[in-house]
Amino acid sequence: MKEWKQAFWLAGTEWRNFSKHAVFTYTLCLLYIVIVFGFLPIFEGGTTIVGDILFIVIFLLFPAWIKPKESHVQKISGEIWASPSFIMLQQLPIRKNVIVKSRFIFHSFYSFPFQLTLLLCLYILTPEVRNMGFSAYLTFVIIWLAISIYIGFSLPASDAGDIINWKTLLGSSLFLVLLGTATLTLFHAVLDVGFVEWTMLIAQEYPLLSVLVSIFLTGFGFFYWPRSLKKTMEKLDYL
Amino acid sequence: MQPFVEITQVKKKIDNFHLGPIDLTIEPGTITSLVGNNGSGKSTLMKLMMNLANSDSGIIKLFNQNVSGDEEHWKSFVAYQSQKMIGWDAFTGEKLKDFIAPLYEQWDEQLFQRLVELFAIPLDQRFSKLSQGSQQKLTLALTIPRNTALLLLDEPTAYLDIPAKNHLMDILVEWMDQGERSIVIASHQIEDIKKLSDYLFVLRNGEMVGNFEKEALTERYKRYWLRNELTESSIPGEVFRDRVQVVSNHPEATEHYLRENGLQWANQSSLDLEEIITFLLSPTR
Repeated sequence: MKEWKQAFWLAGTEWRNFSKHAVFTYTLCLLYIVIVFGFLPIFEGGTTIVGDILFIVIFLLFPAWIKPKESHVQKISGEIWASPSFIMLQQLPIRKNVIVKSRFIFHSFYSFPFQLTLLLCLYILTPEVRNMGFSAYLTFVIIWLAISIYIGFSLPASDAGDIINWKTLLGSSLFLVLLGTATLTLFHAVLDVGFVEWTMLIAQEYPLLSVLVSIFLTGFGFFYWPRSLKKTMEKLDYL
Repeated sequence: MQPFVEITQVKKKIDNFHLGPIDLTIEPGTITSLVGNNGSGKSTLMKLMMNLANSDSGIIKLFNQNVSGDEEHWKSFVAYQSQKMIGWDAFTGEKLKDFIAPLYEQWDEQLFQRLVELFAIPLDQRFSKLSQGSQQKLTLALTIPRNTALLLLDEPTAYLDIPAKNHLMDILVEWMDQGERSIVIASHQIEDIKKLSDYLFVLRNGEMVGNFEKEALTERYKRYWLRNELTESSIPGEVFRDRVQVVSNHPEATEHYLRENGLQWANQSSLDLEEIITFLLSPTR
């Protein structure tokens, strides 16, 4: 409990320092959401691959973009890339577990308000989401908030950094693009629905199963990503 | 009393650079300067002490706790100032203080305010907007008042102006008098080393040359001017020779040899610490 309290204090103190920046970028993103979902027919007649990519990028990556530059992973020295905020915390008398927790809390300060607003805007702006019915919409929200944890938490987990050169950068970027494209293409080719559309369908047809699977995967995310971050910070040499 | 730092047979390989094996003990109440040429591993050693990097072998204990172990209580006894403060850029001095001070039980607010005034640090400006000198002053103002038992300073005076350097020396001496404390300071500034150090831990290209008590080291080196030119044969303790001049790091053995061989010297003198360090860091001498 003491660790959580200190982690909240650290994340809160850091967040307050960047609050002006956060409000500014948050407003910009809201405008972007309104334009994209209010005026572009992304959900009309099912989601296309482009619509899927647009939604996933906005949902998962915008929270990282609205975070201040200091918390982004960047080159520290030589081939070491890490988040400068993370390096700062490591040099202070803070337990590793507290540092780890604070990184996920700090990320959540940006991700959850943004993602909840996005999902709310979706309900207000798109008739396809509204037509699902309120209980199915709530399941849809749970599915995506769970995704925000079991996939989205990979972003704060990367704060500890890695040894990156142009080969690993190119390789991992290619791998992620190919994996994303293959997954989305698979959905469109095999199931004949877009990924986002599929989450809307399962929210309507299998609400209980969807919620249970989401809770299970959320638990996995909570277990896996903090351990991954701690393992990296213990392995890497911040020289 | 238990040493604050115990480093035993520590080795670290980074690409082609090999650090160690390092053996070093830091006792309470001492100031140790890490001395070495550029890239000799001083900063790396400090980062290993802070567990910011893993050693390949050996053990580093701070306050009797293995720094790479699960127990992390040792962190609250150490204040570390690295050469470059990463992650500070977006914070103002005031915000940094609000962030750092609550983490240290013994934070000395009075000392912090005194340093801010002495160094004329603008606390309302972002760290990134400050000059290198002001950044260093702010870093010191946020490190020394932590009042931890051990202070690790990596090149603390590299960008300081002369008055600030003098103020810092006085403050560090005063700070040491307030309790059982120790400082480890990596520096190229001979004045810092001369004024502050009790011990000199010398590293040459990653290799440990030794940990020397400063006074004993200055007494150990002597220069002799001989009446006649030197012969080909080497002299015990000789670390350098010129036509009629020899520098020795074992004066007694040298003088004994000179007497035995009927070689008279016209004069002798002690060496300046800077010269001694140059000899220690020179692989050919």
